[in-house]
Amino acid sequence: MTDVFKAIADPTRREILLMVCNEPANVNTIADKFNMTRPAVSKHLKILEDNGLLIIQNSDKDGRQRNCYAQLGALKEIEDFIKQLEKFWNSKLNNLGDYLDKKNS
Amino acid sequence: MGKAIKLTTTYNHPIEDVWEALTNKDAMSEWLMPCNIEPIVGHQFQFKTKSYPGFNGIVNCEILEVIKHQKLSFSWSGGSLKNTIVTFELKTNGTKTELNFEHTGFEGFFNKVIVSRILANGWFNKILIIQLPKYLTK
Repeated sequence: MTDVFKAIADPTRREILLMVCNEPANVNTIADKFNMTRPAVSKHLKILEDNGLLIIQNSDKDGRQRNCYAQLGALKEIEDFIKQLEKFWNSKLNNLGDYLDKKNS
Repeated sequence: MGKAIKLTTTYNHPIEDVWEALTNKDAMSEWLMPCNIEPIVGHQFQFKTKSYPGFNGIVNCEILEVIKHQKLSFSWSGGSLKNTIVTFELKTNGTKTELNFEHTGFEGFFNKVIVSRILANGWFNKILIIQLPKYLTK
């Protein structure tokens, strides 16, 4: 699993993610909305992209329009991870019960 | 998705026996995972288990709190989890012992930030309705 936690720890990146969850947006629109330079926005987008939270695609032939799409796989991955962890602990706490029964019978 | 993992179990054994099973390294190694736990605040120890991609099989821990027969808490860092906190709390319930287990500290996560914001913005349903089916049918 990638470091999704770090990727969404930053408030600007959370805002960007929420924005594109709602509707895909191009990089310029995002830069305008957050009143940031394109390189600054691109840096955030890259982190989101690297962690699988975002897909950036060129929307025209010469690649000037770059659209961002939210990718919820990573979020689902977190959810699945927690579910798995809960299963793990559930089974271990059952083990503890078996251990106690065996040891103190 | 919850903020934490919380589990409650009741064991048909006195609190002293349950406490022993939580704090003795041989006992803990048997029912949980091989480890060298000592119930001393500041003691650092490891659980060692099978590795798989993204997890080297080692969980690094440090004892954070020990209240004999009541509470044991240690940090839990391994794989994608950094400095999460595992807590066992015991309560006597007649001849039985109630265990309240928690695994918390999934910081940066979802719970506090993303989910609450998405919920606050009413976008959660939108994501489920529009985005999730897209994702699932890919």
